[in-house]
Amino acid sequence: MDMKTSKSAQMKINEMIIMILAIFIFFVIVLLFWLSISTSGIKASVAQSSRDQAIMLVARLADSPEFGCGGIASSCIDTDKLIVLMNHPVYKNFWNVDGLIVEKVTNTNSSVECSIGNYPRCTIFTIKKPLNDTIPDSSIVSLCRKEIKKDGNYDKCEIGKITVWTER
Amino acid sequence: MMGRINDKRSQQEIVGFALIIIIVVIVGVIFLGIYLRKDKPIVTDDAEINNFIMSSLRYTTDCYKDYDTDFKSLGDLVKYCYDGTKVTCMNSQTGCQAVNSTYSWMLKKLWPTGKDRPIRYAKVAFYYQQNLSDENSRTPFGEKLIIGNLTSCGTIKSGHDTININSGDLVVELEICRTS
Repeated sequence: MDMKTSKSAQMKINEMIIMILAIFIFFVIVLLFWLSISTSGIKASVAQSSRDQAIMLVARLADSPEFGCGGIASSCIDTDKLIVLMNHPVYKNFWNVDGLIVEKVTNTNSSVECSIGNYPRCTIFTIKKPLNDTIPDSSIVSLCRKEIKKDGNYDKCEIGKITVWTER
Repeated sequence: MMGRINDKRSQQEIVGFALIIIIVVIVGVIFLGIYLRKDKPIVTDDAEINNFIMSSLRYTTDCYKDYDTDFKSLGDLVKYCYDGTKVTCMNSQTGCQAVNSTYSWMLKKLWPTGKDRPIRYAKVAFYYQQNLSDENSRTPFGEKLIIGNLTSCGTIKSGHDTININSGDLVVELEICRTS
């Protein structure tokens, strides 16, 4: 009888140990599952927010008086100003960035570097050539200019990309 | 007699133990199922896409309304597409067709889609909304433009801009579906 009782007690202890282990493993799995989901969400939202911040910074640069179209239009670059700035050495380091290029997005595959001679029939405005080991951030902007027609002027806006290179 | 009671008790315990194990396994499988299930990706608002929509609406098209240098912006063409105002375009397109063809090349240039590319599709939709705070008051108009293949997405980034008209607002919305 004593042996039977002690065997049953041993079995109970074994059961309890297995149960405690099972419950422990179960909670560890739940915790790992919850952690992986929550940290992946945090990582994604941090990446998205830093990307948005970079884009907003670039967009703010596009809105500076040296570039902007004036008025209330945001994310708009006046390319008539840009072509003048491009050839002005003072502005190479004015924005404290490691590279600054504005590129017109067109329906064709041609890409032509802009100069006073070929403006506005060109696509790339290089304000400052990007340095090595720098990271680009870009934003989409309007590229507007005054277009001259025989019976007057009008504002012609195209679409473009402003890319800023900075060190991280 | 005592032995029978003990046997019954241990049988009950084994059944209880098995039940608990089954419950734990079921809960584990449910969690695993939730984890592995590919839910609809969350659509997040993206600053770059918002900037694109805003800039695109300012784009000067080759369509005019009254005289041949009165070139209209893409935003104007969206309005004309909604209210049916006639415009004259260089390649004899209607206002709505010009809106679609312009967005088509812009999207192909900025977010190229394809098998080996991270973008699965880009979708532009146009809505009339009487009340901007009420998404249910949206009525689609024009033709929905889809570049690429409508397949499952890892993430969807979206952006929109509005054009104010007398009776409400016109909403131009862009969705970019990425593999990750």
